[in-house]
Amino acid sequence: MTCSRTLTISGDIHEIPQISAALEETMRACGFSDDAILDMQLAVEEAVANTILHGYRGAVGEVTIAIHATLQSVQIRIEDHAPPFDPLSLPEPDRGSDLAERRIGGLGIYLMRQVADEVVYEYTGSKNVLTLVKRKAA
Amino acid sequence: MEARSERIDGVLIFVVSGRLDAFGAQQLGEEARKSIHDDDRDLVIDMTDSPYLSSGGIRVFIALKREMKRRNGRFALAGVGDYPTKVLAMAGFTAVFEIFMTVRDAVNAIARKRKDPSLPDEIAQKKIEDGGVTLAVEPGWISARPVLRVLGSLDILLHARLTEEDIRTKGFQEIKYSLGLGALGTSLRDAMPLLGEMITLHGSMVWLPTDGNSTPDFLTPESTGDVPVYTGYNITLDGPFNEYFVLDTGDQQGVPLSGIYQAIFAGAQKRVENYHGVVAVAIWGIIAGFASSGLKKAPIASFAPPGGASIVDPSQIQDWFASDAGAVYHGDTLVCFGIGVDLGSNLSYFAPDDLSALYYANPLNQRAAQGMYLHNHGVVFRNIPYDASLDLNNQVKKIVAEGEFVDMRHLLDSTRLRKAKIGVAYIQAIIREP
Repeated sequence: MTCSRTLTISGDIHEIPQISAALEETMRACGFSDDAILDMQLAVEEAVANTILHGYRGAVGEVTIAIHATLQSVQIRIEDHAPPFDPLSLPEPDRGSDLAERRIGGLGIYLMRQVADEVVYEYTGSKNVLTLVKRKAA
Repeated sequence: MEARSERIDGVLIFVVSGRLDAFGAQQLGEEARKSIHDDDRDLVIDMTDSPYLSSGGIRVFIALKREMKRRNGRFALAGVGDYPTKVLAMAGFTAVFEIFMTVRDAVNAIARKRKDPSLPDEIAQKKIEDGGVTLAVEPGWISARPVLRVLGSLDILLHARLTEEDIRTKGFQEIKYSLGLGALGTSLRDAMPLLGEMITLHGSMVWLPTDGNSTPDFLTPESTGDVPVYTGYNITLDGPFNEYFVLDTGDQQGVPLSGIYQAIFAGAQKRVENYHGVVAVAIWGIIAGFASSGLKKAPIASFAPPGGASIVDPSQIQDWFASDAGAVYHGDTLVCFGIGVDLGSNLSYFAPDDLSALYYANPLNQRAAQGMYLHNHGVVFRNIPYDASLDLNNQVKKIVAEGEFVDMRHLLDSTRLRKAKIGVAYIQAIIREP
């Protein structure tokens, strides 16, 4: 059994709930747990928010999210036309120090990497392509 | 995501329903901007009904924690669910935010440790009370002899008989507290038809041009430079405050300006040796209800009502005064300066002519007949943390320099405040300026 869904959004934070709803529907149909769904909602949100805020820098730009779930795993492909940027190149955020001087840049991408089992970035055909994979717990 | 706010034991609570994703976080940030009053110091986010959190939510939490720290208050999370707890832990923020099981636990912890400087030691603190209004007394310069300098005649103003000969130019850079009628303009002729109500606060001047736009103009000493201010009537306080009072009603409804003045009058009659029935008052407070009026036209001879009628005559008042009790500045900061005349005291110390230069019976003031005349102009600011332990004059200076300016009006006596720091000068002379 497979469940697939592709949606294209205008690069706007308002669209985040719509992406989360699509992920929940698709992953639930393939029997993923609540926690796995929340994890992928988090990972995709952070990737998309990063593109909207830093990739397109406030300009209007489309982001395409292709969800492909099977009974074993879910793969989400996120594409945008922003200038090439590899989010995996971001340094880890500063997690130890006091709030006052703490750097919180890169926090979202850090969370994305924590909850996804696989993250692959490539720049191909003038597009940033980020692929996230989550496997069901054995 | 929806957030609604409530206050429990003086602690602001945001109850979040729904997901705190990047969009929800943006909404929470907007809600916070609207709901945090200038006297709020402590904030608890109730996350009981929020199953999800992302870095966007954490960023808003960080901003709110910093804001409450700026106010010397606390920021806490309560009812944090399993997934948000996991996100906070992954992000390394579990120890950064105070986290409580329930809102009640958070409120109790905050209330237990809170030191409220506006409620000092009950025994050491002198208090005056009248008609349900309690003011804590802090000594000022009690032996000083503050005077009022009055320029122009209220009689001329109220009959719209101002001519170019009555107008003076005045620099306000050196004036701490004054109120009156003024205008800015490149020439006297330009300024005359714009004359409107004005107030000076530590060198900054705010006026309400009578150009029909009902939009006040705020000028700092830097922005006015050498531009003269034309004025047809002005009352300036010369001298320091003799006493300071702290009002803390513990009540969202607050008390009216008339109640505050009544308590000042009653307290002065009992305690103040050199009290002659006239006070000048500066207030830094938190608004619980706003009632104002404003001159709609410059009271100059060319606009004068027919037959020599007064502009406060019932036949004229609608033409001349805009009365507005509709503006909602609940929880915003008010800085006001005003004059109070205590009709229940012996006013014979002052010459009747000098006294009548100070006040008039504004028929829009429903309470005017009840033993007092008040004349207050107020400026509304936003986003200034309230802290009654700070010095009034320094704080007013800081607010006019740094605060977010919102509005300026002639205040009706029914304007309500729920907290206030009040400077009172017991006036020893009224000096008419040439």
